[in-house]
Amino acid sequence: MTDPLLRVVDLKTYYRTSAGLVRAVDGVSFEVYKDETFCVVGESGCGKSTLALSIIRLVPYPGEIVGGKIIYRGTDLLKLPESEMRKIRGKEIAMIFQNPMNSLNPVFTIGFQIAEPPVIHFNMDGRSAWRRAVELIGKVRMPDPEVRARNYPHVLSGGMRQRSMIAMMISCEPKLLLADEPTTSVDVTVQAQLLNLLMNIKRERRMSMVLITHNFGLVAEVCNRVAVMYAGKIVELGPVREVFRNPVHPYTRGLMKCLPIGTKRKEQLYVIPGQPPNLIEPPPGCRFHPRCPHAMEKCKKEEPPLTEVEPNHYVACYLRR
Amino acid sequence: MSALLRYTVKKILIGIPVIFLVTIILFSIMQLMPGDPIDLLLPPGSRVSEEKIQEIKRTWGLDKPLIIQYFYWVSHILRGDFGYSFVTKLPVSNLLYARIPYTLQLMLTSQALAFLIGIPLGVAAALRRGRFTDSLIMVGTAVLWSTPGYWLGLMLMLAFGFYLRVLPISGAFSPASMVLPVATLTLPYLGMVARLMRTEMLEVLGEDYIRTAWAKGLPSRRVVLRHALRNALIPVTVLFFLNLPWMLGGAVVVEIIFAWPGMGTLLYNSIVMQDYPVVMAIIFIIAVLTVICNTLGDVVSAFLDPRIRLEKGEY
Repeated sequence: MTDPLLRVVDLKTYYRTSAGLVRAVDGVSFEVYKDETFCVVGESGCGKSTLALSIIRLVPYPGEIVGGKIIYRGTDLLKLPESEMRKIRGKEIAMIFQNPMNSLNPVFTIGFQIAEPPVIHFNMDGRSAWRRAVELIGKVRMPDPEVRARNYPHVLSGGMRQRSMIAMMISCEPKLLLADEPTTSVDVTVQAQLLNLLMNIKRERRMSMVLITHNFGLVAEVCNRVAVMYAGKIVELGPVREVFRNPVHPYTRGLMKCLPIGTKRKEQLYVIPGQPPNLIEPPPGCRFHPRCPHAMEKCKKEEPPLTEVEPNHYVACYLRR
Repeated sequence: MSALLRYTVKKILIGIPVIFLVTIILFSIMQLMPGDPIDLLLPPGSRVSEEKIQEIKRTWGLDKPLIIQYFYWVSHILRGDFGYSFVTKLPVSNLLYARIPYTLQLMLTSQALAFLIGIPLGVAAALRRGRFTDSLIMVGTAVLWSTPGYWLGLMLMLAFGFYLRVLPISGAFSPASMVLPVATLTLPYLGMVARLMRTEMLEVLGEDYIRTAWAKGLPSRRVVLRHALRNALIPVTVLFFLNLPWMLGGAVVVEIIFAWPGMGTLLYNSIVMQDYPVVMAIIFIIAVLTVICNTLGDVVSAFLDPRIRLEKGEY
């Protein structure tokens, strides 16, 4: 394979809270290649959003990236001064957030907000930036782009706002799009439309995408490769087909079993027993062992490394050896 | 913009009945007050025949039913005619016209200074949250805000007027006379503005849309001054208008302390001398000012915040 567009190496992002050090992302490594859709799946609170925010260095206080490398086209983003990082955000790497209701500024029209990045990054004059914004609003399939551009966010529905958000984030043709649960907070009927739109735009503009989701069903539909995250670590990583056909980690298998596909009526849906661990004091050894049906003595003491079980399919579990 | 215009008209239409209600209350209080206006019109101790009294009543319209008297009175105050002072026998409006400019001068200067200094202080504290600058501003503004105006006024007089002898301590004879009264009014108020600004700014800086602004790669100056400040200023601007009448209350105390020839001293003296027409006129002016400022506050906040302009069901 060619050089990756983005290479994350042993990334550690911790939150220094009054209750203790929260290891939200604790030694995560992966690559994203050109034109690829890379998925990160996991339960809420496993560190997936923190991972995405770490890539554009917007981890909120009291979070801090404490170690690792984020190499984007040959440069380590963690070594860049803030002024250089600003030129990456929105222009090279853009991010779509989960909650479209609060993610748009209530006092500016969406046209203004979409026109803003080209003005900043390309020194475009206001008039052409506005025309481009109107064009983009049409591109994300909103009716009457001219009218919509003059709308304030509060008059738009959640789906419309998320479309505006997409328009805003592709306005500078970024090469990598981070999408943090982009469809979670809209109606189910709108989810599919939004996802199709996103995938079409991605294909058309030849962008790479990191899609963060807790929805395993979505992963199967759109992704090339998938990383399963548990308690701040990647436990399984591989091509989507491979992981779906042959899930190795007990957590991945558990997640798949949770999908309601093939569950008969009146049959209880499967749930993984127990709760995700507290990230202040994660269990020693393999972090999944307290909930794992196959836990061995070794799992309680040593942390299993991420090893290749089949070509390009990595798993952090002692079970297969 | 048409939505904003409709909103403005609506707010003004709500304000008018409130002012009328104020006139009714004021008129009722006047009626309830002890004493007969005739006694006040005649020199004390004078003996006047019953016919003469009836004649005076007719000329002044006091023989008419109350409701007619009320409308008569309202039509006069709407033309700026507040009757005559019991004490000086001069038209109340003349007294007011002489005093109002002084009070406005004091109020508006203090108001402007409090916001011009308080807003940057609050923003600075918010941006340096938890650091030394923030603590310094927070402690300073807490002290200012909790200082009673009259005490502060006396202390300033003592320091600058008595010991240092650099500033006049009473009257309004030169621009320097303004310094101490303005400082007394401004300082506690400035503390409040700065603290409110800091709170609002911190809240806005934690919003999702600010994260979006950062994610777009905007320079921090633009994120803070355009995206955050624009939102954080909304409640502070509304406070500016809502507090104007409140400022007038503060001005009364400060004017008395510094013998400032404004409406506040006039109000105080009139109360002491039971000069009711003057008291009524000043209370009426304060009430009208309150209504106007509230309306202005509503309209300005609608202008700044597109979400308020909506009427119910208009999505």
